[in-house]
Amino acid sequence: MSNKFSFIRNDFPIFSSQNGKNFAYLDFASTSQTPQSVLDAMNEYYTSYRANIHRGVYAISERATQAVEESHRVAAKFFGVNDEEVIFTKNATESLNFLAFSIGNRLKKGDEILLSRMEHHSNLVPWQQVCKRTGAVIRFIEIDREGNLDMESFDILLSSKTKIISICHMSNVLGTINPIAEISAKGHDVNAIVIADGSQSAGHMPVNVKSLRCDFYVCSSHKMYGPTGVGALIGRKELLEKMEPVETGGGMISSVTDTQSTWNDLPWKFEAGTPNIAGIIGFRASLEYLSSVGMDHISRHEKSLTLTAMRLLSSMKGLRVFGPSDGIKRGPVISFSMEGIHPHDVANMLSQRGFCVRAGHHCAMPLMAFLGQPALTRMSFGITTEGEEIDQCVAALCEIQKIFSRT
Amino acid sequence: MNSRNETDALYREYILEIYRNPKNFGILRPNTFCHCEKNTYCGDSIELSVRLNRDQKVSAVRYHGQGCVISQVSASLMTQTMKGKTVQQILELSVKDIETLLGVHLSGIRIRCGALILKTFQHGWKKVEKSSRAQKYHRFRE
Repeated sequence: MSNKFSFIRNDFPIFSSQNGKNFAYLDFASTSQTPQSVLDAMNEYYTSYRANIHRGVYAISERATQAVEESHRVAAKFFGVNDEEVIFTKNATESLNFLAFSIGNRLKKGDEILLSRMEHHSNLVPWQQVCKRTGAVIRFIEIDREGNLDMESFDILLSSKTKIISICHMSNVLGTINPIAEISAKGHDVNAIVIADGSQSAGHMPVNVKSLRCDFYVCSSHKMYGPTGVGALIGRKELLEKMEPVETGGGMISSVTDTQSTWNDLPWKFEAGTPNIAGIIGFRASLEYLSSVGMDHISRHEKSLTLTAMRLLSSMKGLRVFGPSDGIKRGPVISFSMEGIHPHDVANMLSQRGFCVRAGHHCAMPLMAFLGQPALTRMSFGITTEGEEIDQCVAALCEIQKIFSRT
Repeated sequence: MNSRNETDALYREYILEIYRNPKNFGILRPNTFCHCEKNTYCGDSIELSVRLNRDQKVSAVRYHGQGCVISQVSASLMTQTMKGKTVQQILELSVKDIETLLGVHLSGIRIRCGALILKTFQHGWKKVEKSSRAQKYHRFRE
């Protein structure tokens, strides 16, 4: 493992604030942790130049405006797109809801939306609502026994009726990494709009949205070491220009009369009202932090952890790992079940030993039903995870098994 | 949040034995009411079927479900407690009574797990009260 990563934890104040207790945070798929540089950037805004943007001509307002505009530029560079193609939202869920309203509402009865069976509720429920409003239907791309997308089923479902394809780049339950570029190419052959939900992938692997060839890509700052309350909707300029805004009001207009309004240029057309200025500045700081560490390094680091965890968990009797069995082909998210022990009890006992994991349906109830599991325990890794934490967590799982096998 | 000692106390042999071999497990028919509740946060579910006598006392009760130790053992122990009690007495039970039965303090989201059996009874009884056939059920005799 790179020496760089042995010092990374020093950048995160939470690890030195636990009063000496064992604290192994293994729930990055839910939310990440915050480096000091992000906290400093947000604090500096509030203490040195708090003002609204695009409104005042005084110095701190100009500084705040430049900070937010620079945040768009930094995000655009990080994701490999143009500045005006980055819209800041509240989170990936809001970004998907924007798309569901702005694009989904154009659908007609009989049009089809392709989703996969591994989608998070945020990439399923908005489309269900679109279908209720428009008469369109959802068709599900199947997944195989290993949790990989069944591309044969995708090819069969794809047709001239397909108008929208919305797929997670990485599953928050299975760790599956989906072939977005291939899906985009085939989707465009039938003139479908392709959306990639990057909530799990951004921050864990290098992402170049142009290379992914999708029309839209969404993500959340809080899963990328930034603050909560900020997300990104990244879209092709020519599509964003044709879309109607979802939220209207101040900031997103060019002119307003008593009876009508015209819209501002991109990206401001889609950013109504005073945004989460401190959050956007914090998000920029997190992207700069990730760039300084290097997304390739991060991906290799987490791949190594995933391989270690897969090897240890797969060797435990009475424990079943879900998702691709080849650790190379999956992201740093591992969900599992333990025979005779409910995931909530696993998570509860791990919690008392200092390990933070998630148990439940992971906002993927249809996937749980498909897998035949009421709930699963999930561990997920990030930039601060160390191999030792995984070793100790697996040892704790063995101890839990012994406790439950006493009777 | 529970301390490690409290958590390990929850998973002691007596509790795990009940988890493996619960009492009153199953579905009761006929019944005065049968109701299912889920703890959507973590996947616990309880289906409770209750038979009341003419004095509105529980004469028989069963539960069916799946979930964590707290939710299922609470259900098993609480269904034992319910027998012979009136509806009103059961509606007055609280998480504290669950904690007494389990022998541990519950905190945070585990309260929802422990209280699931009580919530199931409360909502099941509400359905009976709202039903236009409530009076007919009240006269049901064993």
